[in-house]
Amino acid sequence: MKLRRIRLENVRRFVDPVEIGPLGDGVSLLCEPNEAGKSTLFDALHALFFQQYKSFGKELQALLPQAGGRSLAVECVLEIDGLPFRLRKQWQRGGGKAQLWRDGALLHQDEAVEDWLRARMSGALGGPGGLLWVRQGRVRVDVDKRDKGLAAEETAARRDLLTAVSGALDDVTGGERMDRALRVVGEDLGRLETATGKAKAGGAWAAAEAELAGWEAREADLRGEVETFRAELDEMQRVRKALARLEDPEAEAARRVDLAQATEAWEAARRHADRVDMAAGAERMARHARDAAREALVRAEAAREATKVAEVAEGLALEADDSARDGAERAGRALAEAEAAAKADREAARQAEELLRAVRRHAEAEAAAERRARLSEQIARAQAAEAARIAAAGRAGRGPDDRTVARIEELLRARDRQQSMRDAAAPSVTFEGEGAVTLGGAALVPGRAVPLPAGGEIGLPGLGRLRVSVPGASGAALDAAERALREALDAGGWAEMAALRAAAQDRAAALAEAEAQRRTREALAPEGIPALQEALAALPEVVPETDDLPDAGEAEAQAGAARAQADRSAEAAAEAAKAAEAARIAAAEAAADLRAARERRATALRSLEALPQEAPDLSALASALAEAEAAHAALRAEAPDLDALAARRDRLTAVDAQTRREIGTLREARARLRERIERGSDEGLEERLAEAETRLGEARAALDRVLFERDTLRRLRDALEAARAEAREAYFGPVARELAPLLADLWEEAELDWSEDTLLPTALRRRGTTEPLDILSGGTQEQIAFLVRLAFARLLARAGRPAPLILDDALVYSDDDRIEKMFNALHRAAGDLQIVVLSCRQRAFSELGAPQLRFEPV
Amino acid sequence: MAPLRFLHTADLHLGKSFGGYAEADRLRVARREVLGRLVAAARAFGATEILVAGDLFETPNPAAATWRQALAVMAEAEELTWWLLPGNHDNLREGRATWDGIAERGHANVRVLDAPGPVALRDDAVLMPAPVATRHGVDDPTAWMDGCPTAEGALRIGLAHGPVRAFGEGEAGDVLAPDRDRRAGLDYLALGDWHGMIELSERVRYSGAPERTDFRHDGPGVCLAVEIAGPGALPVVTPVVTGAFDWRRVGLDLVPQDDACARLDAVLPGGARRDAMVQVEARGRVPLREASALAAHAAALAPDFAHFELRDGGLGTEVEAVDLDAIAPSGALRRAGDGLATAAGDAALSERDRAVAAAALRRLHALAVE
Repeated sequence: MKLRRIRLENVRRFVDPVEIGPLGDGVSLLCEPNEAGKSTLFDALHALFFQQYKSFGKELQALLPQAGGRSLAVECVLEIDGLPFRLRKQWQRGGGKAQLWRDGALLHQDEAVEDWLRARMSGALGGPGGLLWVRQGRVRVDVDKRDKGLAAEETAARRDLLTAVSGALDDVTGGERMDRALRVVGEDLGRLETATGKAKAGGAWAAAEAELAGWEAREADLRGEVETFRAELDEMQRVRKALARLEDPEAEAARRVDLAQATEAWEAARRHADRVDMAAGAERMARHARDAAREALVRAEAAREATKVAEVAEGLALEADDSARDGAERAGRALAEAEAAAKADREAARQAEELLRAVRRHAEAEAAAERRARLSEQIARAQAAEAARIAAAGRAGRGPDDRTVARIEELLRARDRQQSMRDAAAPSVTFEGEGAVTLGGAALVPGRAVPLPAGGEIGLPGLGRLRVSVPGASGAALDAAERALREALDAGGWAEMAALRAAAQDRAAALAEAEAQRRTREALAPEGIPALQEALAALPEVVPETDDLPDAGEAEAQAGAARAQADRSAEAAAEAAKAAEAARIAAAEAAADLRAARERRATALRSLEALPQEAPDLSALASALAEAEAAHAALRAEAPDLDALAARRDRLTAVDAQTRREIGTLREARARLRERIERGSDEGLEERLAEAETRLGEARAALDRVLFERDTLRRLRDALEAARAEAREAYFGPVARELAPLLADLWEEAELDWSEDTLLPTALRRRGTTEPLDILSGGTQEQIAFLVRLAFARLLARAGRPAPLILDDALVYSDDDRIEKMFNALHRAAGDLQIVVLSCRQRAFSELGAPQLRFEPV
Repeated sequence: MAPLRFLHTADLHLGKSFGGYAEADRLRVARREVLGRLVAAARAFGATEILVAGDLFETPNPAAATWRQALAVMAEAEELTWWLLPGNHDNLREGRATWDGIAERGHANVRVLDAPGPVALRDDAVLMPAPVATRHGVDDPTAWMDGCPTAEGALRIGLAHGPVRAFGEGEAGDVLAPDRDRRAGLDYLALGDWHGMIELSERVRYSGAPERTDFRHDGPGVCLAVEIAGPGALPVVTPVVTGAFDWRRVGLDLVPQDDACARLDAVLPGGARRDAMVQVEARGRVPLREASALAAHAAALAPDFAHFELRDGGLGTEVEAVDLDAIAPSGALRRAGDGLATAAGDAALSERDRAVAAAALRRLHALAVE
């Protein structure tokens, strides 16, 4: 379909009819200033194709001129498949009119015209009347949110544009049914798994896995418990069997018989063993009797020989005893003599020692008297020095101490300073003349200047006194100094400073004296006089003995000689004592030997006398021994194995005891097992295990079902998504292919992403980045939308259904550079298309290079 | 002599859990109460003896509450004598504690048959039990009956547990001689182990479980009321329904032309659905739309039953163009359906992958036609 001419009658500003045309193929331009009627033309064409001839709604009334009028009409010449048609609609209140001519002949009227139009507009690709409409400034992909009215119209325009393809899109992509299928499958799958394909918490998949895990754990636990339970049952069977065997009365009786028999056999054997022991005793007795007889014969011979030897020995011992006793007596006498001599020498030595001690005491008494005299003298000197020190200290205490002297000296210096100051400041007076003129009572020396004190009085003998008044010189400080000095001297009773200084010297001398005396006393009595007095008191007052004594050396020599003699005699006495003791011991030993010899002889005699009078019968004894040995051997040969019998008895006893213990143990085990088994039975372990096994199987089956359901949903989802992706590609592919060269004029390797909801581009992909359209500049968005429409138009034309593309001020945001590129794109896309560009931008669109259209009055 | 009347039952499997079933509690209660229904059946029949041919309990050592409560029910029916034979599930070796516990409680009307050997059933009838010693036996425990003498004119009733051929219900390894009645001169051989009632010969029968345990045997559980007029007389055996639940495994064979839902309705058993345990085994091939419809129909039916289960693993799905058109005549949905249909029939894929693809296709179809 192509537009060839358009006519407007009583439409807005065109009260008088106007025409546009002829319109050729390719790009045509209607470039008029604002308010020239471009949008009016656009709206009129829209009404022609979309407004029923019978209607007279707001949109149509809006097309009436301001001056009013009762009707309006729009007419156009169309070319369809090479044939010319003239379409006209007239609207007016109360009913309009529609007419269609072909080749000048009226083809349809009114409703037939509307039907004809619907048929042209309902094609899948043809869109509304085969036209692509782009209203003024409304070619942006997104809605301009700043103007709601504009946004609504923009949306309407886009919907108009896409109506041409939306039906096909539903067919290709499945439309709402596909959306619903995917939504339902997604919701079902979403209840099972997370977005990452994991089991979703709270979902059937997770629940089935948890259920399975729970039953697996429970089944494993119960299986273990049942195995334990069955083991206990087996153990119970074993215990019962063992108890039955042990508690069997016949077996128990047999055990008791065996034990009794073994005990009896052992006791019989033990009695036989007693008899063997008795036979062995008889044998030992017989052997002893024989051996004893043999020994008696030997002892008799020995006794006789011993008696002879003892008698000889006794004689020899008797002789020795006599000799020893003589020796002892001699030694005793020699000892008595030696002891007497020693006693005498000891006495002499004692006396010599006594004399020596007397001599020594005398010497000590003399020395003590000498020490007492020296001490008494020392004490007297020390006491004198102490008395002198005390006296000197008393003197020193009465004189001024150093601090006092220093203080008064300082007062004196202060007074002198005041006086010097006063003298320096005061007027002076010099007496010239003779006479006893005085100043302050002191005679003035003629020709000598004397300071004139304030208030001083000059005595003029015979004349009176001159009282001097010196203003500003009171002399108070000097007076104060003098008063202080005076008071200090008066406090110590010193008339003048000289007296003070003399007293100070006296005090120093007294202190020196006291110190000298102290040192003297310290030298004489370092530890104090009382210590000397105590030492003196401690010395004994010894009176020397008489002088009738030898001197010490002589006494010492006498005593030494006496001690030496006493020692020698004592040694002699000791030697004599030793000899006497040796003789006494020899005598005692000889006496003992004699007693022993006598005893041995007596013993030998007694042994001899004790011998039996008759010799024993050795052969009879030997025969008795042989008989005993034979009897013993015979019994021993018949003896049973006592140890073996004892072992058997012990073994059977142990078996009996062990059996009783085992019975006790088994009964306890049976009781314990019974308790546990009853508990296990009460708990129904096997039933619970069977239940758990069943539930486990069910849980596995349930999980399998859930997984099958999950896989089914995944499979369906994947199939649907894959099909839709393929459909999307199939749908957008042709448009994208048409768009590709147009985009390339503006951006290298640029592509668009498409929205399945709006079927419009949503993002621009270029140089590896994807930019949503709504963040692009207004100009770029406008250009993309413009190119998209060109692409759709190309696609329609390629499908054999060319549709005019009407652009009403479509490039208002594009700069000069871009608008030229858009013009290039327009010319590239134009081909056999019909593109009508409406614009008010005369200068910018002068470069479009398209034929110009004009509203021509009819 | 007076005719001998007794009940023959087996395989009560008391204590069995039914964890896999939603109505597990009801199933457990029904199993516990089957003893009372046996008592009622015995009284109604005029029998004084109830022969339990093994597997009274599910496990050798059931919970104390299980066996004590069962014992209490049995003991309360004082005019009836219960002859309890250990089976492979409650065999003597593993279940000794339980059997000893029952015996030690000394109820005169509850007799534990824990040793092979003749036992006087009454003055003119001898019971010949063959207790199962271990879970996996190797010898025929009824062999001893052949040479066992009994009083002249006394009825000889055998009682055993185990398979007579390789159709055992469990692990029992003992294979009983099916002609033991003739070999041992038995008037009747009461068998247990096979959970469905089966007559091996005029004198040899499995009673089946009085309350079913699974879908291997259709219908409610029964016991056998047996009457023997005298020595040599053929036993007269009457099954008596004792099961509370009607277990049914239903085959549903479908061809592509079938209305699957209608066919399902047709094969479902009548009776009280709330007590019916139904397992439908769908086989054959149906179009995708029919498979979806059948699954939806089964889901809608299920709450009516104590248990309802549609097993469609053996049901092939034929994907027809109309099914795919129902998903979408063209476009992406159609392509997704085509891809899944191809994968579901792709022999190069694993069986599971094919099954997943088929399930995904069914899901897509269901979504499309909702």
